Amino acid sequence: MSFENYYVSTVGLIIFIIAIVIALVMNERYFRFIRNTLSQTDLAKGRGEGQVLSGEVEVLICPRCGYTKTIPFRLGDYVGKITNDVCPKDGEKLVVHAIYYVGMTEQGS
Amino acid sequence: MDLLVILQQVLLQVGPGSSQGNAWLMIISNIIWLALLFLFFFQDYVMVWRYAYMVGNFLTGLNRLIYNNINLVVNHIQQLLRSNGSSQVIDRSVIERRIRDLMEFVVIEPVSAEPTGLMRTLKLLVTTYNERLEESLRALLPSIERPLVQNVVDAVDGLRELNFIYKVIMHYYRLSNKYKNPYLMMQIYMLLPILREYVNALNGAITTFLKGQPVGDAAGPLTAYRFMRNCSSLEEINHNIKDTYVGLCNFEGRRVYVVKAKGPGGTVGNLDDAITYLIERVGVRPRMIITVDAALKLEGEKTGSIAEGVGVAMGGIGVERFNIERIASKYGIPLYAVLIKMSIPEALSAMPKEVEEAVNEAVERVRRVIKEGVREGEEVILVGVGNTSGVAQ
Ligand SMILES: [Zn+2]
Repeated sequence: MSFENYYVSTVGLIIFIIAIVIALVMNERYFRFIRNTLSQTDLAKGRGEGQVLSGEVEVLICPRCGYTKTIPFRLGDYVGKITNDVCPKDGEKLVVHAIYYVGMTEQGS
Repeated sequence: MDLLVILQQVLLQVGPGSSQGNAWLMIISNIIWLALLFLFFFQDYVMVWRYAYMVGNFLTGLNRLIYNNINLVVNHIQQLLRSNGSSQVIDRSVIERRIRDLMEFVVIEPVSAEPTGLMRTLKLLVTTYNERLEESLRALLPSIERPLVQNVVDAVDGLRELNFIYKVIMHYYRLSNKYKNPYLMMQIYMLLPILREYVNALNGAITTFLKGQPVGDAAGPLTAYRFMRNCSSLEEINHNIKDTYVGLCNFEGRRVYVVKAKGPGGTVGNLDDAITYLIERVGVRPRMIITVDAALKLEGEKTGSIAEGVGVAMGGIGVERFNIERIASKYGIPLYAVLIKMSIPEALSAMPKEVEEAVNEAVERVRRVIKEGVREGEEVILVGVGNTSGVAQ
């Protein structure tokens, strides 16, 4: 077998494989998968320091002294509801001040 | 076989007789080159297959999403009935059929060729639609508190929208297959990313409404709520406008009428009626009308950024905005708007922290605007526009 034959076949194969690899990377789903696996390590690092509540949380506030407390969202609560929790400073009943969602740093999607 | 050998000799530019060596490699290289040629000439078809595949995938996913959400709503209804200690046991399939019927509910647009009184007709249709939806669900949930029923109403409204998207996309998908027309498919394919974002947002909205949590759109009512909290001598004004709250409070000597939908059930209220009532029946002569609403941000803008402007900040089909604009121009009342920017997914799903923080900033802006533009002893109307799900007064 001639050298040219061998050479062209090998180059053809390499081009073909590169094309498939590019197609896979450009494909949204695989791209997201690759990006997620790459960013996984960063996330794990970020979570370790300082435990912050994430997900759906609500903020309770004391109407008299302004004491606030952040807890996970409880079903049935709404902003303006007077809860049964009491302020540790003056025993006033706490009012739901805010309900919001703390997501990952990623925007949208 | 001769043909292949010749073709190969042409492709590889080698003379005859040299093809004894690695025959397999030659065959492979032939196939590769032929495949590349084939793809080159038929790439249109390949693209159409890809479009059809992607759109089909989207439809399958959407169908599953709708199915899951119906289950979610049915489970929620059953749970509500059970927690209420209701003795009557309603069959699951009965509830599901009712929900599916409501999902097919249509609102027929009024004739707009003759526009006189069009806004009144639209208002009537919207009111009737909301009432009808609530009555149907009230029949399923006879002895449940109103806010909980309103939350289910909002969830079913979201389901209806999802179902509508599914039906329309399926229509074009089928049509494209039927007429073997790739361009219809291409158009849906191009819309897919936007549709997908909207569908995910609606999906989040259904869960959020069922839980009775505030959505991003509740930023307006939340601003009104927080303003009232920082205001002295608050009193509620009695009226008979459905789902709407009107409060009067004293902010540094100014009489502020605060209008918002009545929470904590999910509803947008009848804010235009409340303003008309205040101005024409109570005889309020406001120095200005301030509306606070969630607004759609452009891609480059930050979530929770605030813009001020002139006009009525209010989304929807424009009926309420029209009514407020008309009454304001009739009495020459300046209109002032405070907008809290967010994207569609953020407006429909659980309120993000950025929006919650922006509300505090919006309250500050409203106070500043009132202090600057309204003298002591004068009156002003503050309107918190949006769905008040999860926000009381
Ligand atoms: Zn306290």
